[in-house]
Amino acid sequence: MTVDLGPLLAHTAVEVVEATAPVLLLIAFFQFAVLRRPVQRPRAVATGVAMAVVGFFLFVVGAKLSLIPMGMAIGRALAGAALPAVLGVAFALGAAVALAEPAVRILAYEIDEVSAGSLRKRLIAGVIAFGVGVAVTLAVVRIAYGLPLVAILVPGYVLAIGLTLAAPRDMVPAAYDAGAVATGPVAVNFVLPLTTGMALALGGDRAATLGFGVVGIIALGPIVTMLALALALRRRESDA
Amino acid sequence: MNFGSFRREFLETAVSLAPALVFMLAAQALFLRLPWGEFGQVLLGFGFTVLGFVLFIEGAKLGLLPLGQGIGTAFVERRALAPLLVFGALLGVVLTVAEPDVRLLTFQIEAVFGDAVDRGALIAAAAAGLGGLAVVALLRIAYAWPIHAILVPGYGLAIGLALLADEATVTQAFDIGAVTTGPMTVPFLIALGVGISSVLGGQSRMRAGFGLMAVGSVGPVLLVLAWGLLRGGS
Repeated sequence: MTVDLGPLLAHTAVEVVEATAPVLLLIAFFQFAVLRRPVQRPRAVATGVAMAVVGFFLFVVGAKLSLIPMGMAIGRALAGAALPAVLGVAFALGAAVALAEPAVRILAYEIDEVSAGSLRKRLIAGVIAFGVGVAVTLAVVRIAYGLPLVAILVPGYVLAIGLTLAAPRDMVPAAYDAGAVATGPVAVNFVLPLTTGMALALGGDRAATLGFGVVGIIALGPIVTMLALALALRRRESDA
Repeated sequence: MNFGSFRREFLETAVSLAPALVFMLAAQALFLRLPWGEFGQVLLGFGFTVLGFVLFIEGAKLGLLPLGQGIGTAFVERRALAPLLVFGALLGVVLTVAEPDVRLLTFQIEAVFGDAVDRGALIAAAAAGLGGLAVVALLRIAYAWPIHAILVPGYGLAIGLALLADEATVTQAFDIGAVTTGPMTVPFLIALGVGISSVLGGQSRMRAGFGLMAVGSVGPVLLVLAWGLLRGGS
């Protein structure tokens, strides 16, 4: 699985230009043509742009050298293991990824603040991690039984919409953000290649599509668990 | 340059990638047993990933975010809502194009599906979707619309389209919708939203930020599903 470095570096260099040029052009257009004013602190801006471009390049090259091929290799190896063990690994991986994600901790802290301490940040982080763990587990179940993605997403979003309408209004935005923050670089570049590798190793004519969709399921999991938490807490308050 | 911020970002990135590193090391020790040359390349790549992500985020914060914020503030001060919305929409488009996770996701889709998928069109559809929903998100902040009024019909429509579209389109739409609101897009949109709410009244800083990512994600999901259906993928 050694990656051929030459083409990888060349492709990524082209990508960096494709990706960053539009942002720079847009900002330059509004700055100079629309607002007609000079850039403040031009040296900081130039340094920042250079750092972002180099960082983009290193990040993409690094992911293609390590996380993506390793995720696929681990997924292929797990395809031969017993299903209950794989489901346990999937849950642990999902929960660990969510707990380690800084954006999840920041969101948990913000919700703690907004709720004036009625929702402790450790409880929130735990509920988000549980949601992500279940999501990755469901993605593996989908691969093992060849389920279409809508078999998970449609009931999931119907449940989410129902809970949205029933849950306390002020918790709804934070619950949906919990879904968005869990889908960071590790979900895309490690969990997704892992499920793709597993699906491809198991084979079948739908192997290509079966591994995908895990990122979408991860975005849904914490929405459902956070809304359920908000609803359960309100029930308890109104019973008291 | 702010080295304290750099160090904090480095630690956070290292922690967020730690589960992947633990899994890779465990897999190598227990069953993969790659030759050391190959595993060395993996570890080197992992180092690149951490360093690259930190440089990217810190560089964007130092160089791009203040400029974007300055442009947004200038429009807000002039009470020029229309140009602000145009800027927000275009920013949503170019930020999706610049989101590294969008690149890496579409790279993986292309690696598996090959020529059966048009990577450029997929990115374009997601970018248009985020641009459109960035406008909705900013209007929501300006007029304090309740978020469920956007999310419930948005995801309701997404479910409907998902039932009509083919499996490949559904997986692409929901995967890409989840990654468009990544480390690049979110700080910019929050900065614009906070600027709007501080001038137009509206909501508090925290409330303005909450829900922005969720509203943004619906757009790419809907546009990629619609694009798949139009292309005849049902």
